[in-house]
Amino acid sequence: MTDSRSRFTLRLMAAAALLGLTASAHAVTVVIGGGAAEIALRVGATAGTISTVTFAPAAATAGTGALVLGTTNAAAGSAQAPNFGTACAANNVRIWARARAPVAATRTATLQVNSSGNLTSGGNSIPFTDFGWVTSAGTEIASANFSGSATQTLMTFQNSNEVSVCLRFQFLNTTIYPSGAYTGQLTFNLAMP
Amino acid sequence: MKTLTHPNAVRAAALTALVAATLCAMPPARAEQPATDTVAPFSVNARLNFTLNYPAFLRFRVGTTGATVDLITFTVPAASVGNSVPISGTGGDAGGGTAVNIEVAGNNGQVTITPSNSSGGLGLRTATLSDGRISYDQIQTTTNLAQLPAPVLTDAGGTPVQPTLNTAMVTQRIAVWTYSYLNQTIPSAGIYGGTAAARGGRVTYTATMP
Amino acid sequence: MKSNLKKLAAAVAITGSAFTGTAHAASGTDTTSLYSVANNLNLSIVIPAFLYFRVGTDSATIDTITFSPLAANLGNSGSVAGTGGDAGGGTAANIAARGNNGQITIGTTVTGGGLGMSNGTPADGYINYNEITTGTSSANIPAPALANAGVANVLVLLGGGVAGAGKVTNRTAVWTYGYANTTVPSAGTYTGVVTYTATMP
Repeated sequence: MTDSRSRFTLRLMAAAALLGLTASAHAVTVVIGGGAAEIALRVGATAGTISTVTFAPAAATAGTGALVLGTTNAAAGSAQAPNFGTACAANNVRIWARARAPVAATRTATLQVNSSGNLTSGGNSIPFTDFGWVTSAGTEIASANFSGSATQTLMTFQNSNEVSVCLRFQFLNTTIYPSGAYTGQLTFNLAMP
Repeated sequence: MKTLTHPNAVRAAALTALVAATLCAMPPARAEQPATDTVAPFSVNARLNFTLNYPAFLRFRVGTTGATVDLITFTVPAASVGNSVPISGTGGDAGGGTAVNIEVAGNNGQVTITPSNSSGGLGLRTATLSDGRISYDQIQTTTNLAQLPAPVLTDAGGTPVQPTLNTAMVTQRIAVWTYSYLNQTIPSAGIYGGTAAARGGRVTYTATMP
Repeated sequence: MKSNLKKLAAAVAITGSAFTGTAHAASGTDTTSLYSVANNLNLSIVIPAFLYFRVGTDSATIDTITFSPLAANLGNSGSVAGTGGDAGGGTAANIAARGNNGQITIGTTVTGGGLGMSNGTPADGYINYNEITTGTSSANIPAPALANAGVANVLVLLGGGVAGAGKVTNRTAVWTYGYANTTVPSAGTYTGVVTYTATMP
């Protein structure tokens, strides 16, 4: 939802790493103008679609620890106008969060994920702790693995800002599981007092 | 002060509480749109699906990976032939050459590893048939992991083993099998076995799974 | 007696052979039922040729068997047993022949230049080696018949090892020596050295 009254200053806060040109070398927080308090969150595709990340471990390396990168469609990492006009790299999922309040730096927004569950296939399960991600754009969410906590904190930021990162999810592949098509769902939560 | 509560009032209160709780827990409208919340305390959810297709497979390794077939050679010193002092080998990919790395991995039930050899049940030989044979019972194998036993080799092939399952359907075991020549007999001089299968020195381990 | 130990430590030449056979490797993956992966491992045992031969005490010691006929019996053809050997109460020697590269032959030479055993004084004459009788406890290792020269070789019977090992010899015997005492030599101590040499291809 856009507010026509808001004025915003585009300020990219470049990280001190002037050397690297890797996508994750730069923080991607955009300052937005203050206004009526609200938060907004996007994970993956927009317009009511729940994105799916697919993993296909190979038999020859199953259980060896060889990372299995997830794949997804372009919609999951599409641009988020107007402040993040470049789409994520292929097979990345965009996480975009917005926190606004009338007076700057008065509230802290927290993004968490519930990774306490599993992917399941019949009676078999693979815990989310067997997965992680590499951040390919942005530093606000560091590359990490799911901890298995129902309230794993990914990042916090103050109003009034928009933050967007691109994540490439991966299967850690250290355990062998029975064959099957495993499915599961993660819930991300953005909250602000 | 005693408070009297009518059952219907209790039910009404419970219903109200349930509705209130439901309203609080209800995700904002139009999830994954992005989701927006404009009422404090602010909370929005967004979901992401994972799908993982796990293949059924059996994977088995004896020694160097790939197409290379290891050759373990036992060389007996002339003064020691037949003195029953075991001889270590060279050429394996572990144990300084007298052993091989073993991996068995599978996810469709109990794995069985069955040994066989190219000697037609007669033991190792040289290029000259009249030299006689060295029996496979002069080859001793040991394992460093009880859950992945090393099959006992015999002229007829040997005794199958079953690695211990990790879970009901899954096997994931790594071990080192060590070989030695027991040197309990005096054979005719010569080179027994080797890379030519006709000399009976090729051992085949076959792993199977339902 | 001198035991001559000959050990042939020849290195057997290794000839490379082309790899033949089914295309099993050392690792593999199967993704279709029935799941089966076969891996090969080649084993080779190199057995060098060796020869072991023992006459009498199993060490560097050279046994001496001494025959001491009584004066009253000299020349009466009554056999005289010896002392100093490691078997048979001293009149015999333990014999062992082991090898793995084919027929073992025992050749025999004696000192004395063909004249026989001497007491150091040529004018006293000699005792012919054929006055020393030899016998064996086992036909597997015949005992050479001694003579002043030209002692015939004897062959050790192949075998005695694992059945079917065509080049293996593993035999033992006891050679018993006696003094035939058919002549009356000049008085004195007559000595001779017999050298047995075992050979194998």
